[in-house]
Amino acid sequence: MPLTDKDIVNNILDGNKELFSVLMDKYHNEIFSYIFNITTNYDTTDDLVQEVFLRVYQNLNKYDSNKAKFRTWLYRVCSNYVLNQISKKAYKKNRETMEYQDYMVSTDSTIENDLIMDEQSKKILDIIQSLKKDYRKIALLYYYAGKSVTEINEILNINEKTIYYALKVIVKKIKEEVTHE
Amino acid sequence: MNEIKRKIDPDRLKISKEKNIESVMNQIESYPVRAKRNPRLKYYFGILAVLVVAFFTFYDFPGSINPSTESYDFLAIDINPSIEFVLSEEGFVMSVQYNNTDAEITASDLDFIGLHYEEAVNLFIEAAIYAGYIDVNTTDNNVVITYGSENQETESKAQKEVEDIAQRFLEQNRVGAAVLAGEQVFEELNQLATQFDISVGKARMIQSVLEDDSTLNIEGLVQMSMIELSELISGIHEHNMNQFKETRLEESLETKSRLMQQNQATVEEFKVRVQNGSQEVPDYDSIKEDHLRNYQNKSEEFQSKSDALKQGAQHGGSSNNPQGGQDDGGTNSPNHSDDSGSNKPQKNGVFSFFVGRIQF
Repeated sequence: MPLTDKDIVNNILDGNKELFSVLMDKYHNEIFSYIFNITTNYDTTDDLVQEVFLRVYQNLNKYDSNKAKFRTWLYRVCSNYVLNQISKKAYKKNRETMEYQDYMVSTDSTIENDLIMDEQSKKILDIIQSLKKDYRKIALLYYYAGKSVTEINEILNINEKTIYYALKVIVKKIKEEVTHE
Repeated sequence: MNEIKRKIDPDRLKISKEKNIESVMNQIESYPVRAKRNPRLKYYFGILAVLVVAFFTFYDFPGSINPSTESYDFLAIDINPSIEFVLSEEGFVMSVQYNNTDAEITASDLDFIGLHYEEAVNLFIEAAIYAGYIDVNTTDNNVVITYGSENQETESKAQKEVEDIAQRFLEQNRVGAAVLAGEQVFEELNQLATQFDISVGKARMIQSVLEDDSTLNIEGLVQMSMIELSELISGIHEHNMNQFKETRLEESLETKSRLMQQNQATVEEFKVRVQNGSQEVPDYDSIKEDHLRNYQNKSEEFQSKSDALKQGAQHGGSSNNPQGGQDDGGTNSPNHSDDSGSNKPQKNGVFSFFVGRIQF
């Protein structure tokens, strides 16, 4: 019978550090995908993924399996960390340079489409970053991690009604910004 | 807006995965594993934190500034959810109080702290709309705004400003609602609110009820919910309106009866004069005939004018149509009304006129 996340976490806390690679192996790709959707840059995503998992490891003793599933808790840690990072000035400053480098090495024929999509996505990300913190977390999880309202409710401990309301406000704000342009 | 999903190169992802796992595993080698925390510690730290905060809050350090000298403003919004904000001098929300369960349902998950009051007001009203406390399908919603400041000048200025903000927001969202002003806060209303531990908005409603019906007592009204108070006020207003209507009806009936009596008296006098021979008996048949003729003429005149107006509207011209003028001098042709058969185009004209109006 395979080990559950809870068993793995307890084993790690008992000193079996190597088992952390099992958790990473299991969740790496979805966390990578979530962060890559936001950053659009492989190198930045690699850095952030490593930082997120390091944080998870450092805070593993705070994880309470009675309160949430491991995946839920992982997304909570990840959202908080990524949100803080992308709000930093240094990140914003480097973003354009990194994207440009990516395009220069890209051989994809749909580069033009990607550019347009990235431009729109960047704008939306800028709008999202101007929102209140809780709203930002909701928006990132909903739009970039593809989480449902119920999942967001579990991850952020915010009730579903408020999440719907926040999404409504976010969409309204994006529409307003787009209309202004 | 759908999920933003980017295509990830699978080879690159594979490389990243190996690299990231290796890197993290190398780094955690140097980290000691932390044991599970004792949950009780959390409570001990909590108690310690409260004691530390209490110490720094209440201990009067030599040379420290007395916090009570700082001035805070107060803003209450009553829809049915009732909320109160304490604002800093710059107008930022410092604390929030939900005065009823409706407010908790509507706004307990919203973070007002640190928002400017303009944003806070808009956010709360929007939440109330979303939660259905403001009905977008009716126009009789009420939003009661009460702004209080120890500075009289600031208070009246801010009161007006917040009312405008709320009104503007409601108009932008096409919500029919009246924004009502709260009264002077720091005097009797505030006293009433403090005395009975209720919101200033509720105190204001109670005051309004008492102004209309002094037979009710405050203690009973305090026990009522905001909805019940609204219904009570609405009931009192309806009662007052009905009373007003009844009074007007009685007055009209009295006037009518007086006029009838006067007419009756005139007729009686006339009959007496005829009987005395001081008044000739009129030729009733001739009067009746004249009257009918006059009526017919007037009727035709009206019909001609009406037709002329319709034609004018059809041609987009003036209603003083020459044809109408000709008709004005109209004969007493009995077939005149049959002309309506030839007036079909005119009817179309009216139709297009109204359609045009609707389009405008």
